[in-house]
Amino acid sequence: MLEVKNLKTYIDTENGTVKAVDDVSFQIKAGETICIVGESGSGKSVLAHSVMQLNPSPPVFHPEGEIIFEGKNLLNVNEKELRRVRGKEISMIFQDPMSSLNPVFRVGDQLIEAIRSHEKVSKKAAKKRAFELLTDVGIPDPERRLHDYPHQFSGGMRQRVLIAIALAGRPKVLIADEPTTALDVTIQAQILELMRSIQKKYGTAIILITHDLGVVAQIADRVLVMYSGRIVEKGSVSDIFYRSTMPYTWSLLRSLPRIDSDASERLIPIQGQPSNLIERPKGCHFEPRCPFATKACLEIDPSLTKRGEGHWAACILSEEEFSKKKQELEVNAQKGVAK
Amino acid sequence: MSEPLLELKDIKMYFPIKEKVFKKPVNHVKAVNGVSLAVNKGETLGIVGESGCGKSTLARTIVGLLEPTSGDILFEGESILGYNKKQMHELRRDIQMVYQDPYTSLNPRMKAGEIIAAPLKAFKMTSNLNERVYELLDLVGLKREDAEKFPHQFSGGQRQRIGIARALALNPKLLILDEPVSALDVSVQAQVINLLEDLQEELGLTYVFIAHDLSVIKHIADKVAVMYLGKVMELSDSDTLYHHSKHPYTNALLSAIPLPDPEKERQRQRIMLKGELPSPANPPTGCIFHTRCPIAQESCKQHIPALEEKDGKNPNHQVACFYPQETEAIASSN
Repeated sequence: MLEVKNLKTYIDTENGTVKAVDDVSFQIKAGETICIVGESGSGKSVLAHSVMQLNPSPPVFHPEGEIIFEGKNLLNVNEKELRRVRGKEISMIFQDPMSSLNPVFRVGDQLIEAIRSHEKVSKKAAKKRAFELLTDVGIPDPERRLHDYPHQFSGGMRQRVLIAIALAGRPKVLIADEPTTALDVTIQAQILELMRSIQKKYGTAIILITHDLGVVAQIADRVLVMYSGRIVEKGSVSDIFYRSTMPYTWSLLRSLPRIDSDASERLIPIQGQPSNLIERPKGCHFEPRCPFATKACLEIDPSLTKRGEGHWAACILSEEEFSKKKQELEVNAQKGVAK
Repeated sequence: MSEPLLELKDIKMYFPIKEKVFKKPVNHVKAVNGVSLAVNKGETLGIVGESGCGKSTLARTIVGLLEPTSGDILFEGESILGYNKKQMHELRRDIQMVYQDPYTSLNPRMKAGEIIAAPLKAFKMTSNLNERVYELLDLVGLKREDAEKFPHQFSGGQRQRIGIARALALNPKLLILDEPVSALDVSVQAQVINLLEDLQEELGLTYVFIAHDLSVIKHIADKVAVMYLGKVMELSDSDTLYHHSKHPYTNALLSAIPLPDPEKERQRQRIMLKGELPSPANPPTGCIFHTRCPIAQESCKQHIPALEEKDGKNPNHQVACFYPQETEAIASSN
């Protein structure tokens, strides 16, 4: 339904051009959930904003790539056409529910505005639909809540309102940029549940951006792992969690503190700091932090290679080499503990 | 048994809500409502809870940034609440704090070396100042050259290391860590957690570690206190808490954390909490958790459960709930 092809999003800055998104391709089908995972600065939010064309331009530009939605390339359509797609066909919810609503308007008015900007309906009909939307997203007593201001809602309730606004145009694709990061875990569970039930009801395709691999495990059908502006691994959720062949994904999963593991176990962190997007090293970008790096990694910048049906990874190691190196590392780690 | 280094006795911290005209207090936000905890030397006490549960307010009362409404704080067996300014100043040598946000807790106009040297200068420990700063940088895994850099030249994880070096400058006995890793990237979190564990072993430090993330707490804490609306709901050694929790709130928190393992994750029965956190200005009657509790009974609305040991097997495991057995049964059935 939505296809992104070889997209590049570059940003001009005083210190040089930042290659925030560098040659990224993916597609999403109706009713599917894709998670984009990565650390801050990996380009995941810029990618999402690019799909919606929300990045300010200049300084942001796209030297290459296509974003194809229902046969049209969104990078070429005019502003009017774009406005029709935005919100109505593809809509977005943001990380911070505290600052995404206008504090001086009633929640109901903001919802009605969203509805009327997508469809020509009477105020009365829009109000009825606003009521339905609030009921849909599980806000108790929606009739009364329509007249409340944003500050009268808690964080979780505001996120529900934002989801209601995002759903106002009955979108086919919903992009959620870290929708639960600002919320407590018990509320996060409620919101994720809500997104799932909405998907079931309307068949919405969801692109969820997150850094939380637990959330990914819970909700994703397919996963894109981003590092330093590129997709370094993509595949089904079990490809990524059980059969990863990319050192970054694998070490990231290994470094997580988990509630189902032994508390006395020492964490195994990834060394070093996330990379700089301006001065890119010549070879593989993960090389400075990679536990398996070889000399060749300094020279060769690996591209995505096929590892299985729908499973792609960017690493010069073959699957066999990778699992061999993994074993060596585990053995060495155990020796280290024994000492 | 080792001596408790820090003891909190029935700490209450109320903030007045004032009426508009005469500023007469009409009600109170009961941010911390009767918390008693103790930390032994060399131990880590973890405090977990959702936003608004009073965990950060509690941290601030321990370091003396807030004076509690009532209750007592004992440090090395001595009450510190009656301390005058001079005594308080001396006490700060022993109790230091590391803050959540490594971006706002460092002065952007000071070099890393100056930031770390600031506490040393405040206590006039200026002999061999540079040597000590280098020693501290080395201790937290930074380089000597880093002393000349400004905070914006560091990444988040490195900034948090500077914050830790500053807190360690005076050789404190107790470190209060208020969400020290929650602003960091996942790949860097593990580095900082390991660093804190190493430092504890090397320097014999005692930690009070505050976090909202139960998986982080599990890795670092010996004892964990779960807070809800200003009260401790469950207190236990960390292994027991994660495997044999007896409080429905702890259970709900644990079940809300998504596991980074799709197969396990999709088989789990999740305990969904109804509704949202009540206002700490008007906490519910009886058990404060009854409005959201999945197993609340009529009696929970009237009676307040005390935080106490329930089964006689483990004196370190205290629960504030009338139905600990039922709770544990639900937890183990998942």
